Amino acid sequence: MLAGALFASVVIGVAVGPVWIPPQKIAAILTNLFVPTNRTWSEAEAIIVYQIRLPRTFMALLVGAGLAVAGVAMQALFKNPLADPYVLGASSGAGFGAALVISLGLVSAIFVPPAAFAGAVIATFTVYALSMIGPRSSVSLLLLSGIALSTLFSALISYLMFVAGENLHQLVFWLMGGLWASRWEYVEITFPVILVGTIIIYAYARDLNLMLSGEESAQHLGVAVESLKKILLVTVSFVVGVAVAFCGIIGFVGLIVPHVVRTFTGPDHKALIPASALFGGILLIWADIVARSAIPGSEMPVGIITALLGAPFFMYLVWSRRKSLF
Amino acid sequence: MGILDKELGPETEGPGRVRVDGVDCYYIETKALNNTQLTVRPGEVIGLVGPNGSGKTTLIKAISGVLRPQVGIITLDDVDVYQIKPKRLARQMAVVPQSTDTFFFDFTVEEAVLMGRSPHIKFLGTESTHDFDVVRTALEMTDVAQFADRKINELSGGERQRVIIARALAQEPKILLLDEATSQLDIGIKIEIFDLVRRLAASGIAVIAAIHDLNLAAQYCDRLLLLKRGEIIADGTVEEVLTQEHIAEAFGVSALVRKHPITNAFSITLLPHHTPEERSSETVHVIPGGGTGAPVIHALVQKGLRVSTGVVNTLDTDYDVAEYYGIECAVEAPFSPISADVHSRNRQLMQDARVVVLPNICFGPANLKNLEAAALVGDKLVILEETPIASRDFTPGVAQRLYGDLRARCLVFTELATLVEYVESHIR
Repeated sequence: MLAGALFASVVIGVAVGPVWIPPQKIAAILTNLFVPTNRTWSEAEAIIVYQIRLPRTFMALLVGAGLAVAGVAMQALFKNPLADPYVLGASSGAGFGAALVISLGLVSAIFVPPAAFAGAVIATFTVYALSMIGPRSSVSLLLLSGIALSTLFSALISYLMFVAGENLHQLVFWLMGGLWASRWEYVEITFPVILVGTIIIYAYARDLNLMLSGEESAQHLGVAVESLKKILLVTVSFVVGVAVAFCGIIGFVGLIVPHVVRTFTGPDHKALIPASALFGGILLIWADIVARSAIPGSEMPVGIITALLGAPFFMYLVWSRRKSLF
Repeated sequence: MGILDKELGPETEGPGRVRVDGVDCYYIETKALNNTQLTVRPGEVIGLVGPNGSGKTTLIKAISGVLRPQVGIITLDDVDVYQIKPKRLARQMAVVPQSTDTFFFDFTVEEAVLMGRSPHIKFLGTESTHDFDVVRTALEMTDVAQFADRKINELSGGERQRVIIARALAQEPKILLLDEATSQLDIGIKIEIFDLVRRLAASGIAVIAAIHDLNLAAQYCDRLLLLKRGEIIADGTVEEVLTQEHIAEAFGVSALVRKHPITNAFSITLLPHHTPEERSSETVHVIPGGGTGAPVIHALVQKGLRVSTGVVNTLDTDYDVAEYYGIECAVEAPFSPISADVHSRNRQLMQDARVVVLPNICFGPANLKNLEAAALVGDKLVILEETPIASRDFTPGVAQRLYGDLRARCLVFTELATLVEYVESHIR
């Protein structure tokens, strides 16, 4: 069912925009790539479908799925319903990396993604190193260090914005997250990273279930807890790094999706992970559709849409769980 | 990194002998175990007893592979526990932790118990029918089969703890570690679980249980380890370990250790407080009788007063209390009338005392002499009268007459508390 919804979302995602392109035309344009078909479309329509909307929709699908799965992993790993893939400072680390190169005037696809990616990975590992007590990492220290590092990077980003001058607009847009820059080359990089990341996380579904009963219990049930943490943190920082690198900081997808999906699938990660991937993809495709059609002739950063959805949901989550949390 | 554990088959797994050898454990910088030595034999039920912070939980954590000792080694079948992969270790050893409120999301009882099978399932593998059979048995053994489809967080604490025990059993361990696993449960369920523990031990599983309740430990364990501040201060049978001296040393409290005359079971009664330092140089003498003196002696000793008593028979409860507190005492053999020299010793004690208390005791021919002695001490006698003398006189009116005289010229209290207050104010 989710897969059907995903397919429909992809089609609609490609069809909707300043120019409406009916699904039959899309089908014909795509078929023409493999088998020559009667031309029923204009060259412009073909370019819109193939060069602009299709990579963009795929990117939304991949990033949505990746962030959702990363969110699932983080929530189980930290046993914290409010954890999301950005909790370890990955987003602000990536943001700082990107902001740094943008403010240096290197506003180009060659520099920004690698810088963002490096920022995410460095931030994650710094936080992990800070949280170590002897051979183990403490979850509360991990969260606290994540917050501290995020604050530090945010301050640095603000400083860079302050001095950014003409590149400010570029930087702001990137920090709010958006899929407008999507190209096939980016999809080619993003796809394997997120696919492999999701598969790795799924392979540890059973261990993640066990983690829900506490770290020590998980170890008593045979989970190599510290290795699991390392493997998943590395995986998540790659997934988040690649997402942030190409699409900026798209918040709340990794937070909301696991919770929504959990109400249908229950807590078992064997169902939760694939369902979250599909639902995350769908959600971001739709958020992007709204982002590019809400204001005619203009386009909002998709991060605004996800934040508008996510923040109230977050409040609802706090409100509905205040008994069980405190 | 344990991505694809190449597991050895179960046939290579040993009998499950645990050895703890010269182990020191620290929490960051606090030493929690010091030079701990322990060998666990299969089928043995070992109880870890001792006050909070004595290292019971630490020892369980160390053995279970989650708190690596800084010094020494813990082995399972001669292999360092910390060299064994968690998954392999989990097939040999299961742990039931102290608290049960750690379930983050809502699994059903069956799903939770099925988690106990995961050490037996290969990476990326799925559960077999054998796994479900084991789960079924575990659910039945712990009497939670009727909850199989309920959500674990809907259960009561006791039910949830039994589910966790079922999960541990589903691991089919050779060693079961219980970290105060029953301390939050009703007494009936405690007994049920420890009966189950005995059955498991009979089938060859070694059980190491941190137990708060000394009576429970005495009843179910083959062997006890008494810990205090990270040291094992006694290791042996229940009889060897649970002595008054050991309990006083470990808990800093006094206990009466008895063997029940019928069941031969141990019973340990911890007395409510420390025995305070004696603060008085003058003594107060309590005239005993059939256990009625005991609460008076206890109350006065708790105030830090020096107490003497007599004459008391050795089988009298008052004698136990006197002996327990180690107070000065004129003693007579059981069921014997008071002999002349014990009587004179008692009179000496009364003479030396600043106050003599006559509690609400009964009088018969055997202890009439105590009343006569009391009559000779003069105005330092005080009386605690909770019931009329007529109902307490088993002599042909002699005691009643004598008591009447005393009552007329002495202070009479009707409550122990006010009497104690009076005595306390009179003695320094």
